Amino acid sequence: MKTLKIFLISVLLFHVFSSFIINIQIIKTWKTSTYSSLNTYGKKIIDYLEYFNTPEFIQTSMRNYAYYTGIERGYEYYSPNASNKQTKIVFRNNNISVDLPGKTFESKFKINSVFTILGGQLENEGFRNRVIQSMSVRLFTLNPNINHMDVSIVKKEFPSLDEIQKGKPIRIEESTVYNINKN
Amino acid sequence: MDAVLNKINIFFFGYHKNIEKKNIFIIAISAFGLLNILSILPDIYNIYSKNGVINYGINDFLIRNDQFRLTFITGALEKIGLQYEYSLAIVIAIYICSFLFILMNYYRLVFAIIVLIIHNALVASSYSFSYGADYMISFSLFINVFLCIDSKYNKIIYSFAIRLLQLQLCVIYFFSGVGKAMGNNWYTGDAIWYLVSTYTNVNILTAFIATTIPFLFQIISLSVVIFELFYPVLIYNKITKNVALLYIIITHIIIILVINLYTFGVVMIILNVIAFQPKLILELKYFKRNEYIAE
Repeated sequence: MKTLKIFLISVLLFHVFSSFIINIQIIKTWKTSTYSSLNTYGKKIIDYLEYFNTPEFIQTSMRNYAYYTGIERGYEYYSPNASNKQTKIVFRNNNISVDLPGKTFESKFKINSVFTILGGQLENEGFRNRVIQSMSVRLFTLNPNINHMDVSIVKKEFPSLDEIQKGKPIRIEESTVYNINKN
Repeated sequence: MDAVLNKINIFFFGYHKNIEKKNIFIIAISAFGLLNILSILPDIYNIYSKNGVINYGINDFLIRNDQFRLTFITGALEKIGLQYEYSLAIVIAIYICSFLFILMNYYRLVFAIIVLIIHNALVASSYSFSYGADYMISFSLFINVFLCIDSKYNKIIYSFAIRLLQLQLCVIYFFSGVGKAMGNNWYTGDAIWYLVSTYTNVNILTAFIATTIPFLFQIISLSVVIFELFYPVLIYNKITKNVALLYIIITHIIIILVINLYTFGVVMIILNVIAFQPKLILELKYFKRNEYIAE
């Protein structure tokens, strides 16, 4: 009984400690990514966290544990700021939209959340091209009658609540980047 | 010293409240996991296949090299002569059947472990499509493994599982609040407006609020930040516990209705109910009626 309790307490401490470290490591990455968009206190916290370092072997064991317990991605959802930009890749055949697959609400939501999850990474042209290629191959497979598609990048930028009061509209920018043939 | 150790012992291993409802908690987690996979079943190949909407080359680029994923399992099945499509179908079938076996109380612990492993492989194989809900389901399945242990140490393990879940929820909300509090647009209310606009098309109602009563967005977003930051305190305080639970459940229902994050909203409500066990819900006629069936 005593051994079991000691084991369970160790698991619990390791779990909570891992969760803390993972979240702190994620916040630390904001130093290079979104530092300018942090408020004064946010910047101070990041600067203090500079001194907070965990040895690599501890991080590795935590990552392996975190992977199997679903805590590896941290919980900083829509932080430090929710994005006011949305980038979507749109496919068209003869001006008719070819939608990404999704037969149920959940799968459609899941597949379309690729634009939110990859978000900033889609700004990188090389990576975006790989994504477009992968999506195109799938769409051609699912729609055997289609031999040609135009690919556009649609970027939406939402005004802030203050800007709305001044009459600023939602900005939508669309640019056709590729004309893809099946072969 | 002894008194402190005794307190720690009671806190972690003396929580036996609603232990008779343990099976209902297992059923809730497993049934939701099953519903989740069934809700995306028609698009399994689009989401998880190595030739899916996002191919395995891109997916592997986004995750760690050593991360356990579907191609590790399907690769082994392909080696014994099965086609890739069939291999993937077999893995999904095992996943679904494992949920059914847990629900039928057939080698529960074994299938709870199988479900956890396959779920994590599914999440790793669809990194670009996996959002908060998938990770919360992972964690709920991890807790489910402990709940499924049936031994003479039942009480100790049950108490440990519930306390672990409680502490993890505190970590989840606290860091969620810390992250938001470090930015700017959660204070101005813009964050909620951007989220509503991104996840749903701007409609008459949201446009009306944004143009005429924008402070409503500000009140909502400030309350989210404050509540998340202080969740650990509010939920462990006897006076504020029920209000905090009610607030969190209502917030997740609003997330479901406004941003359409159904899976995320429901799994968070399930986790909160199992962790903090509000009488209002657990004493509903349905749960009382099913107690003896489950035990």
